[in-house]
Amino acid sequence: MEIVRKYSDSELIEAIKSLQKTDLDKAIKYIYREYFDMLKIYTCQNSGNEEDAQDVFQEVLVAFIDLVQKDKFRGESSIKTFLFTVNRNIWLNELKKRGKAEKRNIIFENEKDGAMLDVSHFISQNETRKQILSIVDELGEICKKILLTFYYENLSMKEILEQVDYETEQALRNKKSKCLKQLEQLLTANPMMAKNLKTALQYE
Amino acid sequence: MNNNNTNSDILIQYLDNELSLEEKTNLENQLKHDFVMQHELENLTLAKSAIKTYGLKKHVAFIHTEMMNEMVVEKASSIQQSMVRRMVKISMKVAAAVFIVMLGLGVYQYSTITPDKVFASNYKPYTLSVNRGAIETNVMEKLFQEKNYIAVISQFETLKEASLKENFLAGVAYMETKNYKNAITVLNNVLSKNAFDKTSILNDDAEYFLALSYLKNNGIKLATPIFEMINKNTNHLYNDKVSNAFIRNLKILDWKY
Repeated sequence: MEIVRKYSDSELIEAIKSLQKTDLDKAIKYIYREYFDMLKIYTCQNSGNEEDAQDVFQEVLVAFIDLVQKDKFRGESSIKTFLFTVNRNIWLNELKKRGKAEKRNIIFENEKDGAMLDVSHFISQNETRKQILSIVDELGEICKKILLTFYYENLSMKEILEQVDYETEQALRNKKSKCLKQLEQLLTANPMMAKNLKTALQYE
Repeated sequence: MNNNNTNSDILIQYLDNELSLEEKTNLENQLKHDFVMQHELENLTLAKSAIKTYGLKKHVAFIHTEMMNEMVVEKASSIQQSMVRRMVKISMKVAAAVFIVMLGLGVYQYSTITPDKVFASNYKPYTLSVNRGAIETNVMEKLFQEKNYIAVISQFETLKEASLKENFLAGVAYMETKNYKNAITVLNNVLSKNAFDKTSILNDDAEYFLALSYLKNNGIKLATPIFEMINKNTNHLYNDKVSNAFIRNLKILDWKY
């Protein structure tokens, strides 16, 4: 049985920034236990269902972790308020796309956010993230594995070599370069996507 | 093309922070003037950023699945626990209600029970069976059949030597006329005589009416063992008259008096 610890906002931020995967895992699980039900209620009470609530929550989490890891979470609001605001905006945006949201409601919510937190860029980044998923999926499994273990999990070439079928580190390094270039080509082949991604990076 | 590949490789090394300080400085100087390289670096940075985003998305999705399963189990277990708690609560309420009702009944029974009530709940007059075909009927038996208990007693008291049956009828007659002391003496005689003669003539009847007489004569402690014996003995003639509830009432009487 995993011991569940309590985090203050600052401890949670530190755990998310940590290079230790287990720290990040524990932080994400804590956020689920602490905030998922609350955000789910909002989504479900506003024309959403359980599945919608789960999807939105994942998007909120990705946006939050991304922001914290890039050291851009300024702590102007509590984590709870931030998550709630992003969750509400992503969901209202989704409703708008589905043509279900009441105009009056969206205007009111947007005005309210303007006074509290500017989260509009999270929504546009959220769309970009969705596009990224489908483009990266076009890479072969081996390319995804090498790039993810190197750039996301921060493993060394030596560690990656134990997980893939390459004889030398150099061969693996060459393959990694090839895969990154392949991804670069996929991204640049989609100018709109590249532009959005660049905009997202500029904000960072 | 080759030059392009070489550029890409150096740029990737730059991105991965694998260049020496000198190589890094040279490249940064070159980048200031080479717009193609700048563009290439920008695109590779985008690719790296895309992979990180993809990794984070997959990572969160993986934990999401894990957490949803955990939450379903937790929810099911909490529903089960709350159901058990609810059942226990309901059972406790029912038990408390039953206890209160029983207690109330007990208190009511305790406060209202008297030897007379217990006696009345069990008593039925003894009926002497008619011996069809008998030519001569005993005078006492005749008087008893007529329920002339005073005459039965008068007749009994004139006898110099009474039979076991005459003793028994006199005992019941004493009881009917509320002379319980004499009833007890005479019915005890019947039991002693049977014991002495090793017979059991009217023995069950004598035991039953003796116990009833004790009950009416404030002898609950003497009546109780006789009634308990009748209650346990399924072959006793009066077994069906002495129920467990009757025995419980006797015990309540015993506590009370």
